[in-house]
Amino acid sequence: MNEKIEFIQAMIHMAEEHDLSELSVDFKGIKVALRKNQPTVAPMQMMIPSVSAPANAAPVSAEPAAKAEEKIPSNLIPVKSPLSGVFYKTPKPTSPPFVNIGDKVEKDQVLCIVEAMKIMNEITSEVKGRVARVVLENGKVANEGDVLLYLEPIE
Amino acid sequence: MQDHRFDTNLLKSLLTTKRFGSRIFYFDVLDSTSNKAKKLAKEGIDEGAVIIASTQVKARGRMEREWQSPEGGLWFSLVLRPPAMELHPLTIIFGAAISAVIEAISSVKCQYHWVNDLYVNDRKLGGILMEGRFRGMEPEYVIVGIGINLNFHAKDLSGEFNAPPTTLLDERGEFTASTALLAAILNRLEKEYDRFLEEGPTEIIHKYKNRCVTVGRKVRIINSGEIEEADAEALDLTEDGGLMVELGTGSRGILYSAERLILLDS
Repeated sequence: MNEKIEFIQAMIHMAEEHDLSELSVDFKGIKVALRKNQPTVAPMQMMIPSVSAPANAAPVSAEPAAKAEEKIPSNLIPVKSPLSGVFYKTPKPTSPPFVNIGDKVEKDQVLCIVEAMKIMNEITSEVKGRVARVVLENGKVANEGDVLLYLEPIE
Repeated sequence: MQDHRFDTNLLKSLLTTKRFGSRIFYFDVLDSTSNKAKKLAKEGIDEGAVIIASTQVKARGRMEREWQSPEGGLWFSLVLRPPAMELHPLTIIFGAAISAVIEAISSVKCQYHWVNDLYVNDRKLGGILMEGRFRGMEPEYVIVGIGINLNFHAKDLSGEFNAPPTTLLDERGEFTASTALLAAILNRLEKEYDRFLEEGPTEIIHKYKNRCVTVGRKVRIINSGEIEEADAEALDLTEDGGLMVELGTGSRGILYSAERLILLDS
């Protein structure tokens, strides 16, 4: 029985993959005839006909990412956001942060998450160092290229 | 009793892909397929590796929330190694493509709810969670974790849900062949992923736009940027998959992230 279901599903799958509207197969005594219904999807009610959104548009009411106004010592290494998204210091709301100021971090250690449209992106350290500053607050928006935190290199 | 073990040979025979499913790992039980996929990705496995589990005991949704994965579901993760580019539209593209495949295979009308849920009749059938890892500005890998409630009953799930859960068994009243469904999903996902890498997201998102159950509906936005909670009307999708909304105040904006987005009654 299971084999027959698999067989029929495979036929459906083949019809779907090759966009066939009809398919008839007679194989080992199993006859399958498929006819695809045309989708009857109601037209969407679009309140705005078309919108051209900039690729890096910020979420609703988002404020620009925090700017570090004070002078940053030249030995500090900025960790920049590779994408636009929401900055998270913790893996989940009740967890401790991935890193705190003063923490030693190893190369490839996860420093934070930047999320865009439910893609949770772990940002890792490219160097061995110590966390010198965390620029953004948890839950704030980072634009691509914004500095998330600074690391002080350790020899 | 349905046999929920996976037939990897049948899966391979049904694949028309070049990369997706080039390596297939099946486990009866895993903590989570995405954890296993991450481990394999860190060890250097190629793009397209697929990790499947009959049961996951520690699967997670966004922000580590529990995701129940009993036997009978389709639980798998896919390893991607994308180039440095804006990857966020992939959530929408994959969700829409999977909803189309489910509908074609099962005849159950399936849509996606922005941004990463699969819905049938306003009930949650499944979800997608993508987890990337960046070194500097370069992505090392992206894991696409996909869960679809297939051959079990929603009454066997417990807990609090944003939307009531459903399963394909509940919707169809019969079992769905998980191997054939997974093959069809992987075939479709590779096609759309390659198109996305080549052309960008605009045309694909447009093609699948009528699969988005969210557009045209009233929604409750919870924790998005400065918004803690607000009701809004979902107006449209942008060409990169953002959700254009109009708040009760009349102001409009584009969502790229929300902790939760609840569909309100029409």
